[in-house]
Amino acid sequence: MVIFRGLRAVRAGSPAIRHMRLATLLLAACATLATASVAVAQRPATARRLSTTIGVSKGAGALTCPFCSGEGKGGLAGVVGVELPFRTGLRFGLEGEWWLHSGGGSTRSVLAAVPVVHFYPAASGPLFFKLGLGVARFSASSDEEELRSTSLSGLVGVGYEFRLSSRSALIPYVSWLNGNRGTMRLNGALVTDLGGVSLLQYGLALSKR
Amino acid sequence: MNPEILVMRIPCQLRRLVVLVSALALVACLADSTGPDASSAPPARAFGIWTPGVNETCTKEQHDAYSVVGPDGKRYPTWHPPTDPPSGCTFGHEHGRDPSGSRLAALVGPIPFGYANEQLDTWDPLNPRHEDHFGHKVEWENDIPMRVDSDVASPLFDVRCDVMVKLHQGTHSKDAFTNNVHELVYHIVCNDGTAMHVTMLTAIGKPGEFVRSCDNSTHIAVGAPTPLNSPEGGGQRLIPDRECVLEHMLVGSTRNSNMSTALHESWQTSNQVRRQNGQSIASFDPYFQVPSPSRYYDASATALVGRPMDMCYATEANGDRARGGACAEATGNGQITGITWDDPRSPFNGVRRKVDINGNRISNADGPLVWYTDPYGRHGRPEPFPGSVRQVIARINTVLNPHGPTIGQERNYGGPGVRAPN
Repeated sequence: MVIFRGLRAVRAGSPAIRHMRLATLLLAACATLATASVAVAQRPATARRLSTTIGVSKGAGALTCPFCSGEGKGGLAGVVGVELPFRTGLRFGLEGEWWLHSGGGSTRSVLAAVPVVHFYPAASGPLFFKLGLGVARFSASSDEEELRSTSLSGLVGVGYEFRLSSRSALIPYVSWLNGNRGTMRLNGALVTDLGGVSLLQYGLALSKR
Repeated sequence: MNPEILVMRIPCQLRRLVVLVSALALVACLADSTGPDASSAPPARAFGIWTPGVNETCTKEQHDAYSVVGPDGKRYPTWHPPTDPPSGCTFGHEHGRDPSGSRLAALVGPIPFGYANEQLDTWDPLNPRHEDHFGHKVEWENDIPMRVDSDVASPLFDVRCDVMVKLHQGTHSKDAFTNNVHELVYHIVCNDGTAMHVTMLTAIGKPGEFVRSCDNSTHIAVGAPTPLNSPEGGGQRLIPDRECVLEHMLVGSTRNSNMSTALHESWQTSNQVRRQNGQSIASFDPYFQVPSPSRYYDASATALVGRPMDMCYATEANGDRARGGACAEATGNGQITGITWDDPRSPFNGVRRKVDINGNRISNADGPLVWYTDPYGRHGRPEPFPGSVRQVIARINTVLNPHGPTIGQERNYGGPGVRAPN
């Protein structure tokens, strides 16, 4: 599923633009709802159980480096995570992020493992921000070749928990993963030590605790 | 926010930073390419060999004012415009594109023409190789988009290079019929870390022969090369001969001359900088093409040189002659007579050229940034030796091996008074 086209190909009214607008709307909605979040939040403040989150999204992934085109390609993306409450308004967790794009005779993917912190501006509110630092790998491969770039990567994101029940929530979210100064290899040979990855994704996640 | 712009922004900033840092690092290694005041430096063999003909309005002194001191402290000729800006006088020849517009000019300074030839006098004094002044031709382009050696990686990268080259490519005399050794200066700096600054005598094809350009296959043995021990190089020199002219330039009344097939020259170089043990440090293989040279090989002619301009007036026994194209334009469809090969009105003057940058490979991750080689780019050592030439090559092993496109094809270096020999 191609959501984003190359930067040079993006036109007003194109699918890429439409999806970008959707992401912007999602963020705006989260921010607006946050102002009234304390009153309507259903999240039990006392819940201290492990929660698991699975999300599916649309994403744009790219290989980055000083001589990379940086062209973002659309594709299916997602997140899998576990979190534990640490103290009021803070949850620690571990997230796995992924993205996949096929086309032009090759498959591109991003895989990342990122320890994260979820920060709730209102302790019992539904809005949260997340920050993380982990490892991400961009891979592009065909039958004959493989390009890999593995780098230390930072993650920022925002989500909003709509309670479905006392133990589950639906979470629209946006996140951005970015890494650089990683090792990039083409068929095993070092291309550069300045390789990186970028992944923007927005979608819906289901959280259970 | 456009997510793809977000993806692009940081790499673009980083790219500029890396290119800037690379450039600054190279400045330190290249800074000794020019020296003291040129007027007091002893002349190299290449200096002062041009004298004005009857058509030229510049003096020898005005011409020799365009000089630079080489790494050996000698005075060399360097690039100059075909018309002297202060006086407006004409030199009658040109050296290609003004190097001052190249980003690399700030790194490497003016190019001393004939420096590698001069070093050969020291490295192998019994086998010198000196070239005329006209043939030094400069071409360059900044920020060239390159291709990379991978189908998977190619769409992910935006490798760009600044390139500046100077080849001695005389296309007016018999020199290249036998001589495959010509001075080449090759500067390239890319954003993927590929960087080379090489000066060498490149051996293009086999000595003593050339390849017929219109069939790209027939080897024409001509005679002994200069120097006699000229090495055999990769690549080939495609040069037109009388067969090409008779078949493609002189034609029957039903068609026009095919000048591009009849007279096209392509010097296809294959260059290696090697260590003492023969191992390759760097390789690159630009092709240099000239569509309208002022000569072709004619075994029956004086000095073996035929002149395309003369053939504009020739008619074969069967009535074949030059029809249309450059001949028709120059002669007003035969109304203007008496244009000689070295007349500024002749279109066969070699002022249009193009360079195919082609591939660039470096295997120098474990080597020094500065190498000293013999003038042929061989016997590379980290320290200088008599007759050596300093080469600067990035300390990397290239994986992407950036391939460049053709540059210069849209330019015409002709101007007032420019004529063959050029």
